Amino acid sequence: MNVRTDSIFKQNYDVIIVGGGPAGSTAAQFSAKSGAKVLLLERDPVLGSPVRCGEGVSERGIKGYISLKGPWIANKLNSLELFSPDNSKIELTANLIGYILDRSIFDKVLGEKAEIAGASIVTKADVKGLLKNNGHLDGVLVQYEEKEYEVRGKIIIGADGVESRVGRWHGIKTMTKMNNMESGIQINATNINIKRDVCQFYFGHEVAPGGYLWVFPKSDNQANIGLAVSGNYSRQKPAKDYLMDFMNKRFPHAEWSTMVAGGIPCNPPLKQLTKSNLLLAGDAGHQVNPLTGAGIANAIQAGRLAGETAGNALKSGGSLEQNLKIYEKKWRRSRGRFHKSATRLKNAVHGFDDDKLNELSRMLIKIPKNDWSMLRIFLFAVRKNPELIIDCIKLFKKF
Amino acid sequence: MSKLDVASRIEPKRKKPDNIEILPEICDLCGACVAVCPPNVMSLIQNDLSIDFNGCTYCSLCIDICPLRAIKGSFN
Repeated sequence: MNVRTDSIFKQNYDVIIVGGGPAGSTAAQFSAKSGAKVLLLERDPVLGSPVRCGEGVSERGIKGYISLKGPWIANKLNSLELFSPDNSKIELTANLIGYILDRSIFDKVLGEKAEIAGASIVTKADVKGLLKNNGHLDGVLVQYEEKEYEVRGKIIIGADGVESRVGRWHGIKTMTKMNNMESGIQINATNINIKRDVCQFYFGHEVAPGGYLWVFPKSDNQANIGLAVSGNYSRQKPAKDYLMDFMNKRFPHAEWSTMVAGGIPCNPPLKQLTKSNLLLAGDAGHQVNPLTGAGIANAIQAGRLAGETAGNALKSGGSLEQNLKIYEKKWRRSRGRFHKSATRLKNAVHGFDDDKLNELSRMLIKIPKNDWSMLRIFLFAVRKNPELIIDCIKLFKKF
Repeated sequence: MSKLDVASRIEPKRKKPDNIEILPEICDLCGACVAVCPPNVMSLIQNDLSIDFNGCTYCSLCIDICPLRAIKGSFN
């Protein structure tokens, strides 16, 4: 028995955070910065591992939270290529498309930032349940090295990822429906012929129905290659088989040692992000871009908002529960509308069959490369293919 | 029909398996099944995925969502 850990569990905390991913660590950092006594509990032995993530992120997504130079940045992307089902290619080049992270380092650094701010982190700590008291939470039940501990805290932040059980234990409906869940699989492939600064996306019912396939290069000869298939389609054929079929066709000489699986919750905004003294952040709060499945930037933003709100809620007087609701209000104001329209767009795109995707790509190819903007694409589409646009408008009007 | 019995509502004719089994040598502990389990009876604790069969409705969504097919249904 580790004496230090034993004494950590015996203390009372202002904020207990379940899960040490980007959302949890950022929440820990910012609640500790605003003066709270913080404990972060992580199930795995180290933060950032295993990596269940494509690791792609935009500059805006991480700027201000971590330096843009360092070993956590594996690669910079200047170009992206989209492949339609009939294999026609659309290219988009910019100064900087985004970064490919090394999450095994990135997550550790975010954890270190939380520790520097004053938070305590315990790994290998399984949270098995919540300590409830009249609809209010007194803390969490932790299993650590085959012993159970009741750890007390005033505010609980559930950042427990896709499973999102903390929310469900407290009565928030965080279950992901099958049509919103993406069944994902990824390999870190070597011996492939790719360009280092170009990421690729492949679409179509043969490649990844209800989702897409990504090739995110990490170096000249190495890339995260993964795909996600909508839960609606994964019954007939599992995600792994889709990826193997693609690899045999496109990169027959590739080699890889590890394969990671993962669920990507592409949900509409969660109806409830706070309940009494519980806050949900990151994948647990369904804060994933439902159209793209991107979650890192959303998790960091939400983690910060949750952490700051928790810290301030303890300092300012009045009802703790009312103070914590500010988190939900602020999130909906800053992200709610975007998340809703991304959901509508996702539903629209999932309704497209391969013919329509091909048609769309033929239209996009005609747009001069230096003239890419959403408005331009929209106007172009209206002019060239009114039928397609009626589809989009219908979808936007319907909701 | 239980409210949590999602499979029967979506696809009434589909036959439910009599047994559900986790294949630990294939399972990657990703948690996708835990997230879609309607009665919330799946848990990932101490690097081990388990199902509490007391609450399980045998809806098979865990089998369908698993990227690796690490959960198997069988019939008696």
